[in-house]
Amino acid sequence: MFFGRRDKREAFERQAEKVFPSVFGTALRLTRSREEAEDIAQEAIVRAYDAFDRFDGSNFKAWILRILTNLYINKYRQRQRGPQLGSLDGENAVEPVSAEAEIPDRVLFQEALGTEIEEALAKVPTDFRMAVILSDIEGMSYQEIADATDVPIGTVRSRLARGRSMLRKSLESFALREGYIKEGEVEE
Amino acid sequence: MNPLDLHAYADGELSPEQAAAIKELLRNDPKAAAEYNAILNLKDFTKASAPKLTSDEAWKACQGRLRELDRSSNVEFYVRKYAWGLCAAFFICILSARFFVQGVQGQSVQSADLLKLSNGLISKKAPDNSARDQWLDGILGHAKQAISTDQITILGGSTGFVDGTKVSSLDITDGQGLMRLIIVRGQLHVEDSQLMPGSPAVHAGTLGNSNCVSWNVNNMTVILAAPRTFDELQSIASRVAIH
Repeated sequence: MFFGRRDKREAFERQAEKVFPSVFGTALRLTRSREEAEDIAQEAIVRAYDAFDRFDGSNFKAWILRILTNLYINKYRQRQRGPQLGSLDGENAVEPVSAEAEIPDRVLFQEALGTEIEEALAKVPTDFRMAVILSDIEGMSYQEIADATDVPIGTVRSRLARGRSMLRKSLESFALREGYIKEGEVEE
Repeated sequence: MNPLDLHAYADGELSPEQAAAIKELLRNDPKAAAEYNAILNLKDFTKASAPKLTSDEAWKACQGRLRELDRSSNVEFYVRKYAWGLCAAFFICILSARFFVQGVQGQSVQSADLLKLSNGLISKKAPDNSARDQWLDGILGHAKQAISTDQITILGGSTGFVDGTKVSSLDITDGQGLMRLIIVRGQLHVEDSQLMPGSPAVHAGTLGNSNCVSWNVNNMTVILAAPRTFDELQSIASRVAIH
């Protein structure tokens, strides 16, 4: 009994430690608060450990991030309920990433600092931010994101496109403000 | 062109047929190609610039919590599995402690309870004739083995159960005054009584306003109470007692 539990815990910890930066990072990017991130990440780890016997062994990271996002959606979003942007989920709401301008993207993105991406991400509404984080930072597939956020794949696609568009806008402002690009470089 | 398809293509989420169609589109449509490049650049930038956010402290807290969970699960497991055994062991401990205490100290009885025991009985006058022995048998029963009645004058007596305890009481005299002899089933210890000096079996104490001496014989307790000194009572007791 003792050894069985200890073996199980050690096996779980080996896997969880590897993905913990993703768990904690996602929690931090979603909550924007270190304390809340620690709470929610710990809760996700505990729940995952409780359910470890039921884990199918396929993709541990996707599985645990699914637990985390569900936890966040259920626990934190209820508390922080604000204006809902569900109407933006529609495909018509998607704006092309480079529609208004031929921004020199390479310059823009290579010059930008790592912290700027975090600031820019923070400006993206939660649903869209979650899709961008899970896809572009954590490398999850559309199906995994759909499972994690309990929405259809079509919604994931539109949220991702919309989220990226908003993220790019934030980064453009940053690049202009900081002088990485000039007004004249933005082509109409 | 559906802009969502460009994102899906950049994410590798299209079927081979759809991917081939988008590839063709990108070859022929510079605007779509620019949009596609922008998506790729944004993806690359996001991935590369997002700092690795982790906390050893938070991970250690998680490990601590998991260990704590395991500990409580183990305790819960054993309590659930061995609950009856634990209860039984606990019960046995209580019983053992009770028997131990009883064995060491004997069953104690308060003098007020003893008075209640004996006073609760209605004394009947002893007959003078040949029926006396039969009457005495009725009063004492088995308790007759506990005392010698040859050396005392029995005036009256009674027997019965008081609070479930068999009690026999005799009013006796030695010519100098009335005394009461109480025989109670079981080995009792009169509260606050002390062993008399030089006597390993006789205890001296008080019963109401009278002094008393008590001793145990044949799983019975005999108490002799009278307004006398302990030495006088012990002297009378030595004549009454059967050893």
